Amino acid sequence: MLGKHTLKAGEKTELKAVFNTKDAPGRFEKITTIQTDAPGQEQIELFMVGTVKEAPGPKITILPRRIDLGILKLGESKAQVISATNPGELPLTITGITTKQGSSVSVAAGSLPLTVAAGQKADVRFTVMVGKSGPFSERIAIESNAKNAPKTGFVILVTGKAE
Amino acid sequence: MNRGLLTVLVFLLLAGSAFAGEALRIHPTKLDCGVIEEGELATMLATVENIGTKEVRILNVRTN
Repeated sequence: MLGKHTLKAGEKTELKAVFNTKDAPGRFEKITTIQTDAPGQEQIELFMVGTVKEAPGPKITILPRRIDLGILKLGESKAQVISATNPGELPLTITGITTKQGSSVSVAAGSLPLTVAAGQKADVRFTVMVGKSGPFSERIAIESNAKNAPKTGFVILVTGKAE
Repeated sequence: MNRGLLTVLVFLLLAGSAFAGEALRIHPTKLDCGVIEEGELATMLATVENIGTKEVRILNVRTN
């Protein structure tokens, strides 16, 4: 943000650069590039560096990351159990298990929401049903409040073949 | 003769320094914020001053 875009001789203004550190732990280097019509100063770079200390929060790890369902009959359901661990410092809440639209598999989650205390792990139960024949490799998203997962969910892969 | 030569020399010196000088003085150009808590805003406030003799236009400002 710049106060003035035209400076007469002797004039001055302020330039304010702001970096929102939410969800951005670790080292950072923000470069503000200023382009001017001053000869020899057509491009000027300003540097803002620092380290963002991560705020406490829930985290998620899932095992296994890949499930092979083997050969299923078309429309058959298979119950699955995955292990969710919370290596974070606040309670993890798993709120949903979903597939994207158009996926060849559908999922039905067990009892959700499921809360996993900090440093603990829990079993997550769900059922997978295949809706198209042939081999498949689909993503299942585990939705939660984990800081280390995207908003769309922590992704695991299910593979197999429907006959 | 000597006075004329001196005038020319002074003019050349002044013209040279004007060309060599920079129109904009910006301070600071580097800021180390140190360690900040996640969620806090890291803010850099710099002063941009036109120390030249001509108007300067800032055409664009962008941040990575």
